[in-house]
Amino acid sequence: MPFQIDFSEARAAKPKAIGIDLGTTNSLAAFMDLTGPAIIPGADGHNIVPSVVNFTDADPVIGNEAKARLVTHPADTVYSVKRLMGRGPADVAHERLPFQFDSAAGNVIRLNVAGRQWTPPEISALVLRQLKRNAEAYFNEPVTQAVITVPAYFNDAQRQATKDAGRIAGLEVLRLVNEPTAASLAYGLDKRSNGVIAVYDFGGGTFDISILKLHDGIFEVLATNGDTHLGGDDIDDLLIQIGLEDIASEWREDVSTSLEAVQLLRRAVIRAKEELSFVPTASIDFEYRGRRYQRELTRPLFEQLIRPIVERTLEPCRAAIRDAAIAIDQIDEVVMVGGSTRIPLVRQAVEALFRAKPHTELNPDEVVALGAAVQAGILSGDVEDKLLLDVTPLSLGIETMGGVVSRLIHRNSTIPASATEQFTTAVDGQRNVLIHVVQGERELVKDCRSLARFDLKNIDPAPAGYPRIEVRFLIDANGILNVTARDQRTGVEHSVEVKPSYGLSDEQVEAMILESYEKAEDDLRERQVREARVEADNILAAVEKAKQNEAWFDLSDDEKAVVDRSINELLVVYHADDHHLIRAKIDQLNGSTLKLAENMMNTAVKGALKGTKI
Amino acid sequence: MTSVRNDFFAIFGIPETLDLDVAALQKRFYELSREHHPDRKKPSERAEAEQRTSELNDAWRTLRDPIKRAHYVLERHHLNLQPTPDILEEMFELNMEREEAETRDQLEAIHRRLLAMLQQTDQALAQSFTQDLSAVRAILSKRQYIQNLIASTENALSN
Repeated sequence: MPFQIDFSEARAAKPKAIGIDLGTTNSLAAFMDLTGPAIIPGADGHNIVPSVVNFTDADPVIGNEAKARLVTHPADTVYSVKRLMGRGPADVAHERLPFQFDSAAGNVIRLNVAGRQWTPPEISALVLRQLKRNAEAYFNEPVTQAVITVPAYFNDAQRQATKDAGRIAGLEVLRLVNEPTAASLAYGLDKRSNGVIAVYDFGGGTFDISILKLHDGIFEVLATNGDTHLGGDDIDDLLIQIGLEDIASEWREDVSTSLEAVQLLRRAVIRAKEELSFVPTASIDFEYRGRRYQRELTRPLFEQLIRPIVERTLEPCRAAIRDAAIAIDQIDEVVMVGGSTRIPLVRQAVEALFRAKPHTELNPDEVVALGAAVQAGILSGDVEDKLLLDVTPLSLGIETMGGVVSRLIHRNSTIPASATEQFTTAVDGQRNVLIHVVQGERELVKDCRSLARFDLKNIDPAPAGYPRIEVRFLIDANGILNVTARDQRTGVEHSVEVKPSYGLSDEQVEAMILESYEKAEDDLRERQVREARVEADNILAAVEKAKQNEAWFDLSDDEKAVVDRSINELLVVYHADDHHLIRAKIDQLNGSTLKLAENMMNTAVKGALKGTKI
Repeated sequence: MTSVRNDFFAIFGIPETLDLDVAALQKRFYELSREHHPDRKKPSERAEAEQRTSELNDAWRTLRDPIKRAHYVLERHHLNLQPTPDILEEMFELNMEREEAETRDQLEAIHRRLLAMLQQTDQALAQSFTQDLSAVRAILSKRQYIQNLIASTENALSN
């Protein structure tokens, strides 16, 4: 590991911040190396940690091993949970989901897995914790800060849920950065041009398009658009449906009720899909309970099937170009991000729309994590030449009379963005003013996404229209809304009670953090005990070996007895769950064998002088 | 509920003017962003930088766009939009024509004419920036009328 050398002083002064791409299908972590951003490999040698968590054992299993268990233990394995972030049970009531969830659980989805309930941020936190552990093992030091990427088109609740996941995982989330923007930072296009670029990001579960203007290291996003529920998953689901129908007619058996069969088929169609990016035909090869189903899939047929999905990405592209107020031919370069951009049809569609050959030089799976690491470098002051000016993807408004939206901050406004409004009371002695904040582009509240209700409380009793409360709506650099209120007459900060429409309350997140800390402490204690035992094993083996050496026989009986007693005492505490005790006895044994070690050294020296081998 | 706005010209350190060099403004925006953006500040200074940058972004968004800029300047002077009698008459006639249009072709022809007029007003607006504010009030009000007519024509076309 190159970083073992010696940066200990610099490191001690500044905690290391990593960049994390928390994807629907896969997640990765990266850091800023002296030469640029680099991926942090996992303990299993793979760069990618699949965003899959399995709950079969007492402790959750995360990543590649969990992905393997999707087939063997489909009922207690959770995947693609990013699709559920920041959404409520009613949002997903009509979606086919491979999990059971509590439909009466208010504004947060609670999955029933392996005998307990899990919210999407808690599951994402497990993936984040795995990445954190990988980084800690790689650097051999604690990692507590991260920049996490989110789809550019994520709304406030989805962003907040991601931030909550980071906190539950024990990470200080320095910044949420939009995935396409992160990718543009990694591409280093700023060195090449002062121009306009488009980033087309088609991943496992989400689609984003961002149009950026580059100017001497400033990355100014002009417009962004997308669909947070459109990705490679949709292609897989389509192929699975076709496969299930095909199997039903061929076998005269409906296997769609078996979770195992569906997961086996998912694996088979994904393999065929991935192969078709490189070869003209592939086969869906499915075996279940001794029976086999095989189907040839040619690229033309595949393209015909997925064309509607690919075309759904084009309208957001046109909308982003319109909002950026530029002509298509002003776009100098197009950058491709996300695994689904490996599909030739996707590349053709993008090339046809933008009339430019898309960039595919960087690994589309890694480029977002690399960009997150660059942003972490910007925030820690290590990267000084770059600055990201991103936008909010959705307009922010408040509910007014008749359920109509009054827009305060328009979509594609550069963030941080703010708006200040004055509120007053409608009746004499009114003590509260409730402000309902929504996100979306439609005129009516019922067609927008409810974000939160802010309650201005304890207004001093006064005639109607007399109080003057100035409310400031600030969308911060993470794209998350902050609301503050001030009484204009007294100048005093006014208390605001926030009731989020979707997602966890602060108290709920705190409780989850606490729980995960306790878990983390258990983990730490267990690891320390295990490490102490390994050390005990080593010293016991060394002493046993030394007893064969002639140096042992040079010791007095008393000296030998002291060593033997120390050995016994160490063996007594060996199985206690107290690493302090084990270490104390290791130290004692070390102390009692000093004379022995000295004798062995002398014997060795003597032997060496004699030229004999010892 | 009323909105409270900052002095956008002061944020850029320039005197109030409608006739702005947008390229120079953009250059200044980038310079100020580098100076004040929270990403380039120590954690303890970020909250203040966030506030400052949000105001800078708001100012840039308003001033770079000639129409938003014109509305903003009128608002600063507590002036509303005020059409001239000529404009009122012209708009009245256009509205009649639109209401009397019977075929889709006629509606589409009106739609094209309105879009062309919108472009003309935008050019006229830029020219009015060197004149007094009453010209700006008149042209902006004309623009508003045309926009309303475009919306109602598009509405009729989509039915």
